[in-house]
Amino acid sequence: MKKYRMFFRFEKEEAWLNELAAEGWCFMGRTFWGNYIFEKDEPNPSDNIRIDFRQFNKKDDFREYIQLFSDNGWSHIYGTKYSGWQYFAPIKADAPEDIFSDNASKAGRYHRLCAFWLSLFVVYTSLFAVNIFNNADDPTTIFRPKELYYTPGLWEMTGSSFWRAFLFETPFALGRGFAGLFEIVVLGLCLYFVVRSYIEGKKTKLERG
Amino acid sequence: MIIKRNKLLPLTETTFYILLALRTPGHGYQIMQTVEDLSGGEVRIAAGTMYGALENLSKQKLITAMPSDDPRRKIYQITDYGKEILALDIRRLNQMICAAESEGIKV
Repeated sequence: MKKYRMFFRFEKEEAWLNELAAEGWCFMGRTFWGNYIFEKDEPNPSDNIRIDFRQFNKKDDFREYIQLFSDNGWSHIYGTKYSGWQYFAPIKADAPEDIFSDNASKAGRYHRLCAFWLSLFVVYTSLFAVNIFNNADDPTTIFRPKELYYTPGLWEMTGSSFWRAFLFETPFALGRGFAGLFEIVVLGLCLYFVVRSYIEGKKTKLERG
Repeated sequence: MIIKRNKLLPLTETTFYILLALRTPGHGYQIMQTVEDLSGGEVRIAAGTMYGALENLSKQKLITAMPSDDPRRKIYQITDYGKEILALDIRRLNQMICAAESEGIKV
């Protein structure tokens, strides 16, 4: 079973996964964009999946991280060196309640998430800036569709030769027109995630208990 | 008279106990056990908090990591700088207790 979800609070994502586990849906993994995959299994009402956000440069650091959690009763059920999202489930029934014991470290995962979105934003901005600067992707051309067709003399053609050339180039023209718009949407989304994760981090840090 | 206090003080409970525990080298799980014992069962550092703390303290040069025979577990130890900071915080805590006692509160 696949479900698509996007979460801004780790606690909500944890609660959702545990609800599904109680109904018998075993969490198998997820894609970066929020496609969660589940397998039918025995209902597990006491499951306690916890989530951290952390990326690693060295494989040894990643192994050490997993080992530390394992020593503490947490099995690493999904996540890779770069995935960021790391999912843990208790190994035995008497495992601790949470993988964090103070607010500062709970907030820390939001800060790391924020830094991650910020680096993506910077990468996309530099990629797109080059395109927009070279006028390859001018978002305003969507309002002047004729400019999106590069075939020389297209608009002087008539009859079936015009239609053949026009229809052939239309998919490319659409791509060109929407590329600039697409880039602006991606940048906007990234910026939203940066700000949102920053705010959630500040909120968590100030929570009592 | 304004006395400039070290920026790292006051230490959090987590940091204080980790530094205290690492006067003897140990790896992550050992540290957690030691801290629980030293604090009389009151301070139990969870896995995620522990990993973050070890990373931060390493960056701040208060502790240092060494490879051990077990490739999946690094051994940590307090640095000389870490010992200095710990001593300063112990002095601060002592001052607080003395202040309470001088006000007539029995400790």
